[in-house]
Amino acid sequence: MKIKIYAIALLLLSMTSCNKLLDVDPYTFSRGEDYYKTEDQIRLAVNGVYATTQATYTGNFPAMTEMRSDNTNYQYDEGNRGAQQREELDEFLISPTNNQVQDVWSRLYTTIQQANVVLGKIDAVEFADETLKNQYKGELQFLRAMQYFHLVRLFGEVPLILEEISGPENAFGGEKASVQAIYDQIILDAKAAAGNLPPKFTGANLGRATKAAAMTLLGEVYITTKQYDLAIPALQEVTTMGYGLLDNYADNFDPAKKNNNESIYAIQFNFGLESEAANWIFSFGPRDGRQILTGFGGQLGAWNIPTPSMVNAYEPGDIRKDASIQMFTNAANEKYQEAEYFGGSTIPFIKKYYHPPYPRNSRADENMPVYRYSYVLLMLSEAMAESGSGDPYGPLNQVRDRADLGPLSGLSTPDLKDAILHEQRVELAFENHRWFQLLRSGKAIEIMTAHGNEQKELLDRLSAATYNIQPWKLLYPIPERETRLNNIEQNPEWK
Amino acid sequence: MMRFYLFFSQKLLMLCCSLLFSLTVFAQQTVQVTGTVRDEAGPIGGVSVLVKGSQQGTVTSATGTYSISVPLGSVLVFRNIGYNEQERTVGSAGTINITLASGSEGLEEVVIVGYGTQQSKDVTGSVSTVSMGNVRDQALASPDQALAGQVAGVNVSTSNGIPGGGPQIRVRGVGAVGAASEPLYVIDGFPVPSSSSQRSNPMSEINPQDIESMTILKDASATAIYGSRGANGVVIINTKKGRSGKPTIALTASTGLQEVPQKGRPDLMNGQEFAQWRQEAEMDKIRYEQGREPSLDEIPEIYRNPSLIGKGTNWFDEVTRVAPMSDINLSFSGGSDNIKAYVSAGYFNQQGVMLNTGFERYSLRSNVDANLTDKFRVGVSLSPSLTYTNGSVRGQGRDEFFDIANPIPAVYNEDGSYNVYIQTPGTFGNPNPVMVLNETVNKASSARVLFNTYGEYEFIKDLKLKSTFNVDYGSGDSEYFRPSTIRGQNNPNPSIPTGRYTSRSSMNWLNENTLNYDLRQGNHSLSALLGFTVQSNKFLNGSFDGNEFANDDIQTLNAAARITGNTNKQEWGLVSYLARVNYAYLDKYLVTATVRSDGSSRFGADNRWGTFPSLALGWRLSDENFLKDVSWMNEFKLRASYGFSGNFNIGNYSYMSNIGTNDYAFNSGLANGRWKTNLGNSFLGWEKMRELNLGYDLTILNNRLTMTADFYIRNTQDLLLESEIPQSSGFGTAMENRGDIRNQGFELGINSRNINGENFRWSTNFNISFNKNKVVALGRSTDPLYSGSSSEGNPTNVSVIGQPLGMLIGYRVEGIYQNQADLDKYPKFPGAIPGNMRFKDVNGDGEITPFADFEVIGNPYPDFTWGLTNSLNYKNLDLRVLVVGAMGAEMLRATSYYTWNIDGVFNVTRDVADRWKSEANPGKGIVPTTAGEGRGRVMFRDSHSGMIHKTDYAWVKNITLGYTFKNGIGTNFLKTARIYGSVQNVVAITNYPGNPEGTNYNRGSQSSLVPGLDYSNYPVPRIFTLGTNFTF
Repeated sequence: MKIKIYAIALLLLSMTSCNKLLDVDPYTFSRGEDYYKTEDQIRLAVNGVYATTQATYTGNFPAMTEMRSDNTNYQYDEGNRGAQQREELDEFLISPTNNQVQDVWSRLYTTIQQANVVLGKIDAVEFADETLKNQYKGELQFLRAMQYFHLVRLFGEVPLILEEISGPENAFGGEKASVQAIYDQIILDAKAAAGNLPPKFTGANLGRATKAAAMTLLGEVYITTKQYDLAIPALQEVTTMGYGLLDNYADNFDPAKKNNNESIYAIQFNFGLESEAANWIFSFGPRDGRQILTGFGGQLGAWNIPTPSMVNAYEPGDIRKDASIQMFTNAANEKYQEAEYFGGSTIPFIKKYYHPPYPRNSRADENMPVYRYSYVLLMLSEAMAESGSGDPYGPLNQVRDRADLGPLSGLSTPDLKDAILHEQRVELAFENHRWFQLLRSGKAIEIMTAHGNEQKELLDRLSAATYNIQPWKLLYPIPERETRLNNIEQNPEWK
Repeated sequence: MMRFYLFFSQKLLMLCCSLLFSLTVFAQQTVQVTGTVRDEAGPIGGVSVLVKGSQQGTVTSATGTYSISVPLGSVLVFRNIGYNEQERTVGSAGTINITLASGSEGLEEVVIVGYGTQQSKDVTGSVSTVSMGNVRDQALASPDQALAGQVAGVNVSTSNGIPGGGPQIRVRGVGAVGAASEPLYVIDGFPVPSSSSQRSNPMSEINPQDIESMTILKDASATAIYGSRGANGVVIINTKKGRSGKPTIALTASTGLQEVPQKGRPDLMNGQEFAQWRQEAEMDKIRYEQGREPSLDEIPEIYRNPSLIGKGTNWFDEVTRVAPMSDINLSFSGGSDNIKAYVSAGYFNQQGVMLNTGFERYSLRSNVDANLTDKFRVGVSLSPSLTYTNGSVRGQGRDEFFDIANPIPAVYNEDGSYNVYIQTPGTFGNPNPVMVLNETVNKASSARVLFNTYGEYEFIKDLKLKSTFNVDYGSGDSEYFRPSTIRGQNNPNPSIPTGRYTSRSSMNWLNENTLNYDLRQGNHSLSALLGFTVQSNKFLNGSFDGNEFANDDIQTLNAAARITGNTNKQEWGLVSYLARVNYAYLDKYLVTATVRSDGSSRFGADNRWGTFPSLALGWRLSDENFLKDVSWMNEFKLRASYGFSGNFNIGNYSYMSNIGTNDYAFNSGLANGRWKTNLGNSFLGWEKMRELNLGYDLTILNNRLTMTADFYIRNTQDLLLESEIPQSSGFGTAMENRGDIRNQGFELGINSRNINGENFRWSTNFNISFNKNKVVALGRSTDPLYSGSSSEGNPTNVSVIGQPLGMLIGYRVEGIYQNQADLDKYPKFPGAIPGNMRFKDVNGDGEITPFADFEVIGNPYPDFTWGLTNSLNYKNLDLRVLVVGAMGAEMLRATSYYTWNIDGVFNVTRDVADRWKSEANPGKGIVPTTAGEGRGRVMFRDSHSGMIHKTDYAWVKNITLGYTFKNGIGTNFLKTARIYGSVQNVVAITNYPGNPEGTNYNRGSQSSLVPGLDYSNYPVPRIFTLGTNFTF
């Protein structure tokens, strides 16, 4: 009888105490439902939004902004066709299934959605210091505006999503917003960010978005939308915030001089930290230069290689040329047709992001500039030239002077506009502005067609189908996956 | 031989018959009968000795002896699986010795079902027992391999021959999409986690020699008792138990050699052919790009005179070898009336047919059962195993280089050292594949202990409470080191060594408490089961990568300059209530009702509990008056069942949205960051499987022919699906319960004793299964669901409503553009030239575009699969042949993604020699020109209809020839002795160029959404073994 009682007791005991077994908490991550509740969690989450922007740049964004333009191309390796889809970007052969375009689209939206999550939760969180809360909001507003600005320029009309997607059921149905509505939101965010942020940060906070960054963004938006009367005061305000040109142009890219007085906003990297390394020279270096340039065996990515037209763009005496482009001469290059133009065994590569030695393989240390003060000056000059108000030569010649070039003056309006476009090209080469500059100059088709003809002249492999620059190709196709899943309309003519 | 008499005791009898059924004996005037039951080979244990017309009975001991008290004049029935039944009338007390002749399975055998056993005649669900006699002496590393060809509705794909790996097993088609589709394995009543990746297989830690029986539960009536884990079918494995009587010692040993069959090897170019091709391609390139006739001087020197090169190196031959295999087991079985024990020790060693791979297992088992009192039984079973795996070779010809490596360079330099870097002009430089396999260190070891204990107490007659406590503890670690001597791809310099260390441990415990009640009154018999179970699993692992080793001297992570890694800790819990009632009226009308309710930690609070009911009916027509006297019919039963079971095989935390780390650097300082890594879904729940099963069991012609047929319709609803969502949401996929897949099929199993003579016997076991699957719903819309990724990044499969899941897609080949006129006439891609593949313009837009012009090009599912075992006995000789096959399936030979890379960087298949060269010399129309834009070559190596092959096959899986010394050797030493020779995976008869049972295990995704892709595999070896079985 004892046994019976014992057995039944045991059974009942186990039945009652077991349901708590079903409440299992994760160990290796936090639950989303429990997060974004404290000031510290918000601090980490804001950092996390910044972190999402790194992969955009170490990924394919430069291919869509520099390689697509006349600034760079790639070193064709017959034996390695793995990057065909990226190469098709350069030659205007892409289709909506292009995986590079898809990649950039998803990365830009990743940043936007992570910002949306935090922006949606931050108001409910108690902060010891309300200024800090506003600062975080400002940073997120800036980051969101920046990504939408990229999107609207690359793709035109895109879904405009400003709130957290809480579950799979809400992930669909983001219809395309008009270009106007997207710009309105960017301006709203940029202005709010400017209001929430200080002009400059110091110390450990260097690298965060500032009021200067937000105002520069606002200025670029106004220039892009041809609202020059609004662009000029915005950019002029930036010139009052204590930024200036560095004496030595090359210092802008020196990893030892990150976040200097000319840097308004840059994507931050540090190869000493495990997850924070960039990859520039390893992606952009010449194919057979890995051992010589980095000290490691193997090959380099060999995309974003300066074109002959880029190499030739610098005026004689322009100190920026040697700071921006380096020549890699080696017998191994003889098999590449790209080397023919440079004498048979030379391939140029971007020097801005090349600072040896490299203590570890595939890890580079340079920040990626987004806005530098020189760009503020050149945009100011552009806005003045376009609107015919103010003195466009002032800021333009400041930039030229630093490059050891003489001042310009008295040009006709078209010549002046060309001179500013040219100055922007050489000053900001490989900083992911060229494609957007071509677009807003209205000369993209003309310049890219000429560039394509030049390329076809030099490179046998390019068929007649390449560089067929049509007006509709100035917008990228919406990635096929998006049009399929979300039932949104493809951009005109793309198929 | 000493006989051991059982005491005449009601309680003891019940114990001995516990494998049969609980029974009650009303003793009358009785006599005692003893005897030995044997077959041609000697005494046989486990034979049922039943009193006809009652429930009384016993079983023979391991030495074949029995002892039973029966009323005078009763008829004793002797039954055993695989033997003809015999009856004897008891005329007086004394000895009745019986020799059973092997034959068909008697229908009144005991069948193991979830949480108990049933007499075969009472079974109402679809339950199949593997005939262990048809499995024995095969060269098997793990129990799951034994299922091949044995049971209708169980599809075993021997996708690889990796030592320590395993087959892919599917019960009744594909029943899951986002969740795992493996059946549930229940070992001695303990559902153990055993999800196999095919590359490494937890079942390989179980010694097949310890297995007494294997039973597959297929329909919902049978599996509903396992509730949320039953949807993919249940494999119940029971291990051997001790028997009372004189101790038996059994020794089995086998040893053999494994070789890679010629059939199915990659058909790649040899050195001369490759040089010839490169020479021609280089010249074609100049002709196309520069429009002139090239001279031989412009071609790299090595390609100018191919005949000088000869055969070069066949890398596949170089990385494979003939390898030994051996298996030794020793077991002791015996006991007294109250304590019985089975103890075994096993050693298994399989070297791999690919270099530097192998698997070793040391296993022990002790199963002990004891009667503490009349009413209280306990048992404990402990089975530790140690396994060592060497090499982590997947048999993937691209990643492991042996398919892509240039065939011109030699393996070794003239001084005998490795030729470290394999390259000729224009090709990829690859590390030497032989060296990669030999020099990479990759060793894993694993320890696992399965522990079961139970206590069973009988409160009142026929009411029993059983409590079990089970533990499955496993731990393991692995070491990896890639030395500097192995070159990187396209990097001729010594590489920087890397290393890895992983460790894992898991603790899985289960407590089950069941109450059993049996009642038999008049025409009614009832057995009821009520249960409550709790299971918990904790899992911890760590994985650490060492980078930047200075050199190869020290290979542990201590010498790594940089170490990165992470630890992972997870757990899940499952709480269940279960109940089952079996009711029979007049022994003819059968009802089984089952329900299980599971609560799982894996699902969100909104959807945590699931209930899985089922109902089954049976009608034994053969006992009806109108059929009772049909002399040729022994048994005829109709069955019908309907019920639900589930699938909970998804990640432990899938319903939660995760916040993970994502750090940043402000001005070079570390800024810790967090981000949301996925979309949560608190409504995430079970996959529910709903199944209707109709079947019959028929035994005719004096039990010589038995037939089991089943028809089923099973719908898997609320499919767990990692569904694609727009990237504008910030995420690419989300876990949802969406979709409904229907599997509908017919299964037939036939056992026949064709010839049953004194000296010559021939029996056949045949099974065949037809299954069709159809997508009823998938995702939130009716749009096609694309899955998989070709090496060019395009989807490989599509699932469309109304069609089978995951049909193969790609370009449809319509020909080759022969000339400019073709180019003008047909749709083309930008930059197309004569000689490029001409694909179908599926969307009709006048241009050939990747993916947009894909259509369905193949169906990866067979129309039917079958298995056939023929056993022949002539006097002391026995021969058994097992053949399996399938018809109607198509495979996309995904190795062509690289062996049809005609850029000239990899080795290619021989058919590339017959490519299109000019309009006058168009080749065989399979391979296009190598000239022109890269896009033409890229499109050719993307999925297209030329890569689709039929896999129809018949595979002779095993032939075993044995000789049994019927009376042992010597009188007091060997009781039985048998020697045999066996060949495993004898020959595959098929036109398919690779392994027709290949699966997608070598692709990134192993999901059910990407079936039918053969991305090469570790060759399945042909194994020749010689073996002996002795009992002492």
